[in-house]
Amino acid sequence: MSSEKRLSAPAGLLIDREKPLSFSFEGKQYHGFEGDTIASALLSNQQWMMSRSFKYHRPRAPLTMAGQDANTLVQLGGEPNVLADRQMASEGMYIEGQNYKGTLEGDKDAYLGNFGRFMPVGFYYRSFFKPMGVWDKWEGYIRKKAGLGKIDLDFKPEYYDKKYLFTDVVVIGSGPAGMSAALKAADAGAQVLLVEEMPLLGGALTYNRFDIEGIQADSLRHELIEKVTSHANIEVMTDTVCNAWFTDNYLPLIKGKRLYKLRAKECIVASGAYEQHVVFRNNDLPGIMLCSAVTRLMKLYAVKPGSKAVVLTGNDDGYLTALELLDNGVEVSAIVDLRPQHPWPELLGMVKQKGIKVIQNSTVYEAIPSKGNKHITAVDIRTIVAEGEVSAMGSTLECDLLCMSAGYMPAYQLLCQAGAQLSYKDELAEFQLSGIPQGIHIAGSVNGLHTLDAVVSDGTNAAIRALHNLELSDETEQPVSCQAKPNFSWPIFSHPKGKDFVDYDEDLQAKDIVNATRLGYRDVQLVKRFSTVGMGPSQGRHSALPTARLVAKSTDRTVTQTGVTTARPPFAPEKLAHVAGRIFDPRRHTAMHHRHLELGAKMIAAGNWRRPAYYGDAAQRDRWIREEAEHVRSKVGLIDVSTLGGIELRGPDAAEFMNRIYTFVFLKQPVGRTRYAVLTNEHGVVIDDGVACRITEDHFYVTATTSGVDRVYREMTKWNAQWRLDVDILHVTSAFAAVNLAGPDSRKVLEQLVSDVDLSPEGFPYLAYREGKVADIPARLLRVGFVGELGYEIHVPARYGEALWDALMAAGKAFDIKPFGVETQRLLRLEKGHVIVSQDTDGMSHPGELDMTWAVNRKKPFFIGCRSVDIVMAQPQTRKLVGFILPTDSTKPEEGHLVLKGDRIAGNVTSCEYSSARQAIIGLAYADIADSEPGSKISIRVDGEEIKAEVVTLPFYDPENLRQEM
Amino acid sequence: MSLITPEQFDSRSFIYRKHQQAQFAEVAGAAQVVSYQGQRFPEMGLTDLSVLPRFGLRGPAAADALVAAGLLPPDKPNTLTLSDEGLMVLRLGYTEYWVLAVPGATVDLPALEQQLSGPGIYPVYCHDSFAWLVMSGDHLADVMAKVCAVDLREQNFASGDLVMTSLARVSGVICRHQMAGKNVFSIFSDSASAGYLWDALLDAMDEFNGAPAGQNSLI
Amino acid sequence: MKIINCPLNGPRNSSEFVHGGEVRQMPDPNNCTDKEWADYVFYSDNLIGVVTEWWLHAPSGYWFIAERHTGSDEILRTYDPAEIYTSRVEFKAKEEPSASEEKTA
Repeated sequence: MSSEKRLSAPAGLLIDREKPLSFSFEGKQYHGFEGDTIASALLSNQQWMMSRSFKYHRPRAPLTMAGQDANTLVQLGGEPNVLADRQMASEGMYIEGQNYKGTLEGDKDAYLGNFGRFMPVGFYYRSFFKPMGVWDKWEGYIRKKAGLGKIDLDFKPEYYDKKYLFTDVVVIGSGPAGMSAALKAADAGAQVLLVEEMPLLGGALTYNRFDIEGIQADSLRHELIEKVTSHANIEVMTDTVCNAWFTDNYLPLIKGKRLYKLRAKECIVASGAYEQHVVFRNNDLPGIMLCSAVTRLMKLYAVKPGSKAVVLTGNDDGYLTALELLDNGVEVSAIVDLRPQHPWPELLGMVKQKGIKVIQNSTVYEAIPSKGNKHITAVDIRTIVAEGEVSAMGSTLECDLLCMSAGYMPAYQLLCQAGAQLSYKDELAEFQLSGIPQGIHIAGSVNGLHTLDAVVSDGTNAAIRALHNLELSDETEQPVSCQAKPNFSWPIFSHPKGKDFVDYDEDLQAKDIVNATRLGYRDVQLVKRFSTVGMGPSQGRHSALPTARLVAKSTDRTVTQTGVTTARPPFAPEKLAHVAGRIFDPRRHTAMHHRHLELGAKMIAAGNWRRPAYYGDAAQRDRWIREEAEHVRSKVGLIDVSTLGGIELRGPDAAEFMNRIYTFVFLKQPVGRTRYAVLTNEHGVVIDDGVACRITEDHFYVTATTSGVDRVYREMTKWNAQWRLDVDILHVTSAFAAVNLAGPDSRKVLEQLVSDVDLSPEGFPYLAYREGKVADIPARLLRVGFVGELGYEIHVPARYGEALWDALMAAGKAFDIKPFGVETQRLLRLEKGHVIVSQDTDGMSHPGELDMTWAVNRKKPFFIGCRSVDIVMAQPQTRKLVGFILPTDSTKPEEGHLVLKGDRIAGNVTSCEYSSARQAIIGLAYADIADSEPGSKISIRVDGEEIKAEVVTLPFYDPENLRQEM
Repeated sequence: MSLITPEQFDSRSFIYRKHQQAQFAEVAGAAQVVSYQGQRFPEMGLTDLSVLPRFGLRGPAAADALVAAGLLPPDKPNTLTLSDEGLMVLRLGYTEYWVLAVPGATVDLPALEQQLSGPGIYPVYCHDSFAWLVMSGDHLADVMAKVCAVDLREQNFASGDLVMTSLARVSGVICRHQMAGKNVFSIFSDSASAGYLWDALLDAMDEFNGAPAGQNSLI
Repeated sequence: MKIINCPLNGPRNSSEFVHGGEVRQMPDPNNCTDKEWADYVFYSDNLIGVVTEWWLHAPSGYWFIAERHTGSDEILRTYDPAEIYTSRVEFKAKEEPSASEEKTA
């Protein structure tokens, strides 16, 4: 049974030995326990290989056991690219390897590794760009060879969502620094959120050995967890990744299927440090792991990582790892120390006492693989003779496990996103962070501190700084010092035969980085883009430091000058589902919305609104529009215009305000009358239009376009914040439901429902405004109607909208009333030559181009854009919006088709539709000013064909406007 | 049992079709949901009070007129007052006030509205522009955190507080107050978006066993 | 996401706000030169430094003024427009055409 293979407790902090489980990997059944990751369960069964590398298809096994490398990416059912060392195993899982041909064990593409010298850095860019189009042929092949995982096209969406969170202090990372910081802040009364990526609190305390006896970590961990979990002011989130830092401490936290958007007043980053690998030949073989990965395997999962180990280290932590291995029954053949000097005497003494050979000033120069590079079998150890150089001869040691540690790189990503800088301390061979912005604090090993005492004090200090900002404490910080120097300055031993990997994700060797600089890519950002270093899933967690060192050396600059590439969000891979889950897409429905659905309307979007385009199936669109239009022209139709914008202006200065906002004059507009209102912006461009009703001397009700009303309202309120007129501006779009009852029989329909308004042509003439009751519903009645027939716009409080619609449809039944949609209304308006602002206008359209000068008054002192209108109108006009017609059998131009003047583009078609009233195709287009007179011909390019259309006088229909004024 | 349906009345809630399983009663010339059939009060309830009377006013004379009418306009912008009779006065920003009554209150709002008119007072059509939804239950702030970026936990958003903000990407007003001794959120949002918001809120409440409820749960 | 401190509504996510451009002094539209008008309408200094801008809190429809440093993006101060727009603005009618024609020539 697998339990017998496991180390005995207390090893295995995460696994529950009472709960065995099994799953399938590559078609074979494996056993593990609840709490195991896929990787730990596989390793406990001696299954090391989990993936094939990206380019050379080399066997790969876990490197970090913490989800920080791409070696453990597997296919989990339909989900590709799952990190096997982070994903919990569960009963019945179906797991496969990725990126191989045939089987993972016998990948037929493994031969690619032998062709490494034909695939130098930048190989794709340099090989597949000529002749033009060749990449299209190669792409499919290369993607197959270098692809990661398979997408399940039949997948069923799951429920992912988002939630906001708020706290005084967030602490990222629950290691000794993070927990100390959380406790200090919480004790002072701050609300604290402690965020931990792993399933359990403790950070390095859960796996690292800090002392010779190996007891310190556990006792401190128990003590801190006890305090943290019992503290009323601390909320703990485990299994949670903080994936970015955004302005003002806005942090996305991913836990399970939810993306939390945290807003924290103060942010303490105690994110720890990444242990670094040593660059030597075959440093990617299964069986070669970071020291921290090996201790994680043993302490968290009780997996014995091998039987005979070699430790390669540039610091004392390697020695402690060796002791940990011994305690767990792993033989340690030797500690190979990169440094010439010894560790602290007691540690050295203990190691020697245990019989471990210590080889100073040496490195592993090459790892010797088994057949097919499946596992490490031995190491070739050489003496270091100069930086990166080794003696010609060495000795070989057999082993099935190599643990390595070249030092640490701070987990700098969040801090650099916040604006902190990384600078390299040559004397420590370490990157350190500086320039931490306001509201963010750094603590622990990310701050370059490595001894437990220093880390704990640093956490407390970070909390004190946060408490100062929150005005919860005036305590002073205690000085912290740390003598540890865990980074070896040059752990890179390039081998003439290569496979000395700097970046495992992208199969990049030391020479690839150097070659990139030789090809002229000196900047580390360019080196990244050319070589792809740091672009893989681990995002430079291990490659950034050696790359910076290599680039610095080969370009004769300091490592600080070289730097690392920008660490943009997200910090860890995140699923699109986290971003896409529960997105809000507001819909606005008018009061009559359901009536339209019941009548079979084809609904279309108009901003957030949904409006009927026409009533009927989309397949017969042209027919429905034609029939609806003919019905309005001959009988009576009803359209829902509730989406029309509405604004009320009230107060002694209402008329003065109207006069300044719109181009026309409004001071003397009579009460009970409507007036067309055009709005230009400060550039003199027409941006909106509507109808202004003067309800009383100091009360205007003005409409605006559906899509323009928000902008108009904002402009109005902004102008009056400056002008200080005595006027109240109220946005009332949603307050009113409105319909346009149009057609020769519309008066007869309305007469059925209205008793308190004189509807006769004399009593309620064209362009008049009345108030009364329609079917007992209080209503505002406007005798306008851009469709060019007798018509009434009826506006009622929105709550009555549906009842109004029902009443009109019922009263209209005797007159064969039919509803019509927006597309029909557009055709009817087009027949009348009415411009639809934003459909028939663009960012240059001034009133002169639109034949709207009649609506512009230049005698009044001011309107918005008046001076610009003066200036553009004084210039020779180059284009004009004209009406054109084409015979019915002509090709029909579409909106946007170009109008040509010789070789030159003169304008474009803005509206075009077949008009049965005119028995022709009619349209509006911008034409050259020379072609704008009726009778001129304009050339319209329609799908390559040039069509000659005739310019005609507007409107197309009822030029004397007799019908609308009936 | 008399069967009252929303379509009997001219005045209707924008979302009356959402209340398929509900019993209605006539309130102020419209059908108000009183309860959902066969349902005990849910752990978290969402109630549509859109048809209940309310009116708004603003302008330079508004505040004085409210005082003269014996109402209690809030001293501070973005707060509300709630009288013992169940009359609520909301103050939105500096000069806009809304007057409402909690369900079951015996206040003659139309008469008050008549009284509160005159020069320097401009009516605000909050009855038609805004739907009125009330959320009740123990997880108000938790639910709202799924749709709204403002911290609405009680320590930051006390009873009597009001925010104008965006919820589920729709602009709206959220108030915390008491109704029948319960802590509730009144949510006023664009009436045209009410159906969308109703669904979005119920979806957010699902995690806490939320369900639609009638006004009986608030009396 | 940035937080903007609205003088009326307090600190809110920047997504609740709409930018309204820089606060600028309009030249007398009827009597300034074309160049002065074009400067006002089209040109912006776009310097690194503190700019005074209009911001709208959209859910409440409230306009206010913010002083923002374009280098750090830090908002130094926000206040009600009444602080600088203290009195009613009037527009003068056009002067006699002779004067303005000379300027535009």
